[in-house]
Amino acid sequence: MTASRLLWIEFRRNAGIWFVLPILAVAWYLLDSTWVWTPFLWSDTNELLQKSLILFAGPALAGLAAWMAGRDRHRGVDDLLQTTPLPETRRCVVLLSATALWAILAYVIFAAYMLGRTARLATWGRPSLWPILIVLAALVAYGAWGFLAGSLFRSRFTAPLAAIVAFGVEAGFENSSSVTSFNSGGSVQTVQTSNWLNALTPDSLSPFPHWQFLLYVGLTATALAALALIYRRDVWRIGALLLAIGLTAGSVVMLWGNSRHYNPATNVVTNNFGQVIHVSAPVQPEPVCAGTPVTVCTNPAWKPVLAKAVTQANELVQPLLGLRGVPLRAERDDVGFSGGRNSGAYLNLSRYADQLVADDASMSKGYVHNEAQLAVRRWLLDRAGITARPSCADVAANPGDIPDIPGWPTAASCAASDRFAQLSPEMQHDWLAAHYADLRAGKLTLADLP
Amino acid sequence: MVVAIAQKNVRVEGLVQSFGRQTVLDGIDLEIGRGVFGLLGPNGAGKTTLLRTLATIVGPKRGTVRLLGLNPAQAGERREIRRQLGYLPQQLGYYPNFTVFEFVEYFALLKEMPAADVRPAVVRAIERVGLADRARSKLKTLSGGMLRRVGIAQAIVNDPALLLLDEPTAGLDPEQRVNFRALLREIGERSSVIVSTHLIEDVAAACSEIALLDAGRVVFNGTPDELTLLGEGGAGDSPLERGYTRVLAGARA
Repeated sequence: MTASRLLWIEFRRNAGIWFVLPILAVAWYLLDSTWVWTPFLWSDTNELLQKSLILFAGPALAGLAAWMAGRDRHRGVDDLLQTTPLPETRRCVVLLSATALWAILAYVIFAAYMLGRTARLATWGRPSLWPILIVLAALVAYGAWGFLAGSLFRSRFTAPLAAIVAFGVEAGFENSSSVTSFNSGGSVQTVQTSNWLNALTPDSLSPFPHWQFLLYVGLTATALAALALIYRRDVWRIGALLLAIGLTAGSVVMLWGNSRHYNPATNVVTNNFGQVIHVSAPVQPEPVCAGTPVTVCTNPAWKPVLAKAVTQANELVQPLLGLRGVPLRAERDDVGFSGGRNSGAYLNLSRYADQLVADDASMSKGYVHNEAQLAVRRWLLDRAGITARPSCADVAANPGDIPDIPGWPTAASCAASDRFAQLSPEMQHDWLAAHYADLRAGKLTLADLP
Repeated sequence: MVVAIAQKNVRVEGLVQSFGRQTVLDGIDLEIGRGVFGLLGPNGAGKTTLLRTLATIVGPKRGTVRLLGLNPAQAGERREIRRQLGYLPQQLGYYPNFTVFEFVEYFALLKEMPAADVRPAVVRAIERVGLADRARSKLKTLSGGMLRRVGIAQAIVNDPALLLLDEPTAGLDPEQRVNFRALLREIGERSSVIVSTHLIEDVAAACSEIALLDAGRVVFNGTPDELTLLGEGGAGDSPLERGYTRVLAGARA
């Protein structure tokens, strides 16, 4: 009762209240700037939950906790507090908990949003509690170490320095291949996880999250035991510190030992203990299809954007309907995934556009290279409102910068595309009716276009 | 655990405190029982250091201190002393965003009061210092005098057996000082109250016994009347002030 009431007072009046909105703003910025927004995959959401926010929230909490550790001295209350019987360590734990709770609250809001959104849209995979537990444990660990720093080094510079050091540590975790395995769990991605119709790994995160979790628990326990030793030194506290260090070291050894390495030559995955790891077989998807007259088939993971893709595909094929040999099924890898933020996700139909203007034989290594085909393809995409990069505008603006890559427009094909677009619909249809078969076979040149 | 109030709640023998090479308290001997005990002396006499020692903030360099019959050098006994201690420092630090109620409740909880007693005790302490109408105000909105009363409220919230007040009336208006002296007398009926002050009229009105410190030594220990009797020929506007200056002059001579 006493502890909970103390916690409530400290929580209500804690400087951590200012922590929530900036952290959520950073979270929103991170999501906004993520180049691919994939809310349909639990595996991606799980990874995002574990890796995105901690880089900023952890260091911020470390700095805040360091500042809170010096609060009583800043406010001149330390003398008065010393005359109270509640052990200092317990008071520190209450203050640290109240501070960390605000960070936890910010993260929980972020996680709830992500989970809710994914649950609404996901058609494949499953949520995992481990990423959330690991981040919560990491937040508490950052807070505990920040608090310890603030208790040990009583300077106004301790808080910003703690945040900077914590940021360096977390960034090191993210960038160091050896330590990244702590974050990613050392999972070796032997297959692509996010491409359309490719196999999807059930979970790209750690196969041993419990060691990761225990690492952060050990780090927290180490900081708290060291904090307790500041105020009183006895055998029990020293023993607790040694135990906590042991737990941390043990977790590090297990994480390092279980880190996996993929040898492409032998196609074998081993860990640092020398054990051969059998990676769980990727899930082979059963495509979902929808639409008429064009049927679009995609990985079930992308089902939420299938209806929009069908609409676009029908728009794309509309001038060609009724012609002999028009492909009316978009499948294989000709529908890719790309996207922006939130509802900006869409299925990329540019490969289906390739199929509309070129048969397999006329393509070179799967790409359109005939300029007449490129011109008509560009016209189809433009009239359907589908932006393909680089656009003809890009070509016009930077003629020298656009490399000569198969499938990319040339200035001549863009000009021909523009000319074709100027024709009346009847003239376009008549020309296509007369030349469509030759166009797909790659027998036409730009000179054959009207 | 409730410890019965000893006959003499404070026993100090040969207390020495020093900071670096400077000796601040130099062989203090005191025995203080129930009642209001005034601690007088010029600036730098060692009053605050003595109160901080009695408040278990600093341990003695030499000598012995026993409070409420317990030894503050022992961790377990020190904790028990602190449960029955009230302390108002000379400079009261506070958390600006706490309300009056929260601040007093916070210290009630830190003093390990039984959970069921905390709320009524906080309400009573705030009423006793005349801040009931500001209980929900944040501390940053209060005047200096009001903050002083908040400090007093946190000191008395646990009905302490030993109450240490370092210049408690500084910043209080005359009406509040009168009320405060009455409060001191009331608390002094059941507890030992040690008040460090420069205000002679506070001592005259509230204290049953006083000690006069100078340069870390006790130069007078007795009742206000006894100090008054020593005042003949001294400087000052009141008999007690004359006694004060006369004793100081004698000690320095």
